Amino acid sequence: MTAHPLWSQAPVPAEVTGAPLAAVHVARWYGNVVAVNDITFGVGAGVTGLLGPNGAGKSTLLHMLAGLLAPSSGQVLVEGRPAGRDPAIYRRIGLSPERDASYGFLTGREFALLSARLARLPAPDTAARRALEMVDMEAAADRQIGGYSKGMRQRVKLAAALVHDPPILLLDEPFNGMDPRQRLHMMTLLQRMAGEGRVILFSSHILEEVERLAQQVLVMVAGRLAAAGDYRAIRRLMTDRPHTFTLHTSDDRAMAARLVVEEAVLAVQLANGGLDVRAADYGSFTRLVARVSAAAGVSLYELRPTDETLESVFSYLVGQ
Amino acid sequence: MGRDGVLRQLIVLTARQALGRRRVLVALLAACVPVLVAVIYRLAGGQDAQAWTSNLLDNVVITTLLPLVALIFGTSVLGGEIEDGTIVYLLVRPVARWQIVLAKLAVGAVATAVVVGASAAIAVAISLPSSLGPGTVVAALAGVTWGALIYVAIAVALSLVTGHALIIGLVYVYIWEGVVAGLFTGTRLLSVHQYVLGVMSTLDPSQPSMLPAHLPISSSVELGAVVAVGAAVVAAWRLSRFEVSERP
Repeated sequence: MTAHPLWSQAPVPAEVTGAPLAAVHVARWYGNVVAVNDITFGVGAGVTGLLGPNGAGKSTLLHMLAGLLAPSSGQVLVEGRPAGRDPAIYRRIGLSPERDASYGFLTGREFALLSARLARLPAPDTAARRALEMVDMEAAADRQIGGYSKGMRQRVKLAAALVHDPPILLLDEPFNGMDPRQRLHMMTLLQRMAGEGRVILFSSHILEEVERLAQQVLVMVAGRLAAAGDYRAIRRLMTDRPHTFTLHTSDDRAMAARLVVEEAVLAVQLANGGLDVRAADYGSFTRLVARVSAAAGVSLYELRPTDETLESVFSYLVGQ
Repeated sequence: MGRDGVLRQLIVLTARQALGRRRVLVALLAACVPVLVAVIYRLAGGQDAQAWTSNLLDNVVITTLLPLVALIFGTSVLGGEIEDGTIVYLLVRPVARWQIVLAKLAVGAVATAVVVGASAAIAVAISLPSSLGPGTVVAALAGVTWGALIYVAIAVALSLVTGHALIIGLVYVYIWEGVVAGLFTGTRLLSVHQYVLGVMSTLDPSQPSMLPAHLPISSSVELGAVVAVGAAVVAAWRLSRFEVSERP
């Protein structure tokens, strides 16, 4: 877990600039709105999750990494070379954009074939068929994209992104609109591709997606890199923070008296027909509450974490 | 797959995308106007067909219809992809940006020339069939195609510079070409309308041509080429610096 101090212009370590995909003090602003704020990181082989709430600047960052948006300051390096204004980098990069735009009049196969031909592949038909098979879209490939469901459009976009078998894949919210079965299929596919040594960076605002797929994470909040590193370390940071719970029991007052003496409990409040508890961390409290209610002879009707939104997790991380 | 393959892919894609847009209907409806006017003229037993037809060609077809259709197609071929967000699928490919612009230009210019050329040919066939020698038709098509190419190049460049390319293009055409270029002889050098007339009347085998030209064909071709190439270069340059938008 490395926290990057903001505004630092310290020398950038070689493991960042030497990575297949790197951002060096990258910032982007629109007028006086800062979308991405001095971000430095390097991404290597494997699956990396770019996690953050909506509007955190994930798409802006991915577009800069893909050379489709120039940083206002700083530099993006793709395999050591500056990205941007060089169409040749698109032999090495595949991008699946978040925006749900498509050539509705093309069939899935025509779109994959077009992508293969524009990528100047020697055998475009074979490449298009292989890409459609990989995303499990062969069966529907001869129907027009305009009639596809959102999940199907996502998968066809993904097929186009990997039609030229790129070593670097940038996927912006790739699981949006997919059903659980497709999502699982896609995660297996991405894991396999990462196992082959590819660099895969995908963005998501859903913690569980990142948890299941990514070994490394970048957490973005309000344009800044809030955390970067191994997923488990960040997860621990997320669970080891103070949590608040709301309880409904058969006797709130008795339960409050029992809880307040426990070390894992920081504060107890009787409020609007329930019991608000602030606990030191998630795990110990959830184990403790069952034991305490049994010992007190109090029935536990409801136990609900009150601050489990992603935003609260993120704002905690930013406060670190 | 060589360069031609990529260019052909882009042309086919553009033709299917741009020509399927609703705006194209407006262009086709506008193209019916000269034909309808010619039909009414014949039904009314029109006099002085020579002067009437030359007036129809100059004021309705070349001054009004040609720029309107060219602007509609020219702002659709690339502007449509930008509006829809599909442009990103072309930009993430190892394709030179000028090739994308070239394909868009070709489709826009050919579509415009076909629509306007057909409209003019049918209208003249109705109002003054005797004037339609093969040489005259070729001259008219050459002039229309030349004008289509220049106007479409301007429209493509505009669609990369502004989100209101069609409106700005229409204002330019009808203020500059329609009013200013008619008032001052000096501005004729900078008028696409005059380039079209210059090509048409010089190539016309039946001299004196039905349409008066103020510029010789050499200036019409050279100056027109400067405008068209200049606009295409601006478009390719803007496209190479194109940034996907995600903020209003």
